[in-house]
Amino acid sequence: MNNIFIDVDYAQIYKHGQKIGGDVFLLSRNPENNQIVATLSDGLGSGVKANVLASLTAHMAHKLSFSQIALEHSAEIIMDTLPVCKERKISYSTFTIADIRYKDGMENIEVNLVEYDNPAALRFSGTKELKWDRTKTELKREAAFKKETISYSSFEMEYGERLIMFSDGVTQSGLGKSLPLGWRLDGVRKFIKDEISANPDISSRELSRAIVQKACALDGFSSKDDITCVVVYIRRPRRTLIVTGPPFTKEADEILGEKIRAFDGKKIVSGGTTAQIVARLFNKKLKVDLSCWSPDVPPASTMEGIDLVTEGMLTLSKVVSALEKKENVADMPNDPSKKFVEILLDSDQIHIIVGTKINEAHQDPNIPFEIGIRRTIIARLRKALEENYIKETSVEYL
Amino acid sequence: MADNTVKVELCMGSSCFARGNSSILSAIENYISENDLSDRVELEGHLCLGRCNSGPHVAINGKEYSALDEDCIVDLLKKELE
Repeated sequence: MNNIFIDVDYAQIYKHGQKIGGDVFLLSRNPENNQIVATLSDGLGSGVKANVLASLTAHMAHKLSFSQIALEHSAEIIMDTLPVCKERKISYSTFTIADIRYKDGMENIEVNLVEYDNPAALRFSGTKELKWDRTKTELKREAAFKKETISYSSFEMEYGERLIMFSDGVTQSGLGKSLPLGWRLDGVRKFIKDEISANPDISSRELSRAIVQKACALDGFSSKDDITCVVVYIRRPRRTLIVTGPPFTKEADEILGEKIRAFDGKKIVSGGTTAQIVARLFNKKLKVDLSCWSPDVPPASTMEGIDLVTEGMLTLSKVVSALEKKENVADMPNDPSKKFVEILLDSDQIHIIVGTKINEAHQDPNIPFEIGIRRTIIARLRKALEENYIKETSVEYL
Repeated sequence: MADNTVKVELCMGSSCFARGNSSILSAIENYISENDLSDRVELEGHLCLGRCNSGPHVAINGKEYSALDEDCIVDLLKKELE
């Protein structure tokens, strides 16, 4: 697995009173092409009309970025395709496209950035702001109602760098309320610096959330516009190991122990018998914690050196179904499956070691079907993590 | 623990849990709270004890029981508490 992770996340607050946003953010990861495309578009106005404009723009920008068409040409196509507003007689939607490509092993992360009328994106390496050159091109479309300038730039991103993009709802927050001219780019810049210096490893999710919440606060908690912020952060991946099932042969127990010891990251053991094997290998005490369980999920146990010890198949089934349904973690019952899901969602890369020994007792037709085939459930777990949560997963059998 | 406490051990392995120890544990917990017996009953969970085919397994003061339902177990606990 890669030792570099591209953490992309965003946060958004709609204009006060609106149920739908005029800011639209799209993110696609295409691991086969080693490409990630993040598009932020702000449609004219707010509410439904703006959402239609912004969605059209974002989707077009997105699709065109994955095609062979040059970005400049793409931008013209987008502008010519947008419907014209009846009142204002213009078709208009801003966009920022970050087309991120990398070589195998996450080396040479290259970004092609196209910006049209959104506030300028910012780059930071740690707390230090990075400046870079942009090439400006005038579109000169016939139907244009004003001078249309698009800026292009391309640069490499290194470990520890961040690229931060936002809509004008961020820079104009506080306008006429707490601040005469709004928060402005300088204010946002300073806030980001302070946030990073207070928490150097702040994740993209947390940083984007902090920025939009601050903007909303400046608007007196009644946002004047849609507020959206996107953060791209190049960092080390957070890793989790799941061990489930006893190894096929007893001789492989030692190998399992070595693999758990050598793993750098969070460790989950899922399976009572497996946990007993690990406890024996590590010479640690296992204790069943009867305070945390539900009618569907048996209690967890505690063991020094392992972050979470759960029962196997029933717990895994619950975890998988929660991930497949994209259940909100906060709404899950307070049982071991909830802790399990929380750890997985906080990880970027999940490695699973599946022991292949068959439990005779589980071949009984009288017990629930969930206690069935470990491999099937692991396949579903990986699919849900990869497709619903864009996690990297790997598996090995022992 | 005082001498008059009763120790209840339950197997919390997948098979025993699915075969009935989930509801047995609930039933015991309810019985304890309804009768304010938390000082007199000590609950302990075990991982798989390796006798899955005849579960659910429960032991009350060291006496082992298998394949019983929650009513039986609560009755046995009552008797032990007398």
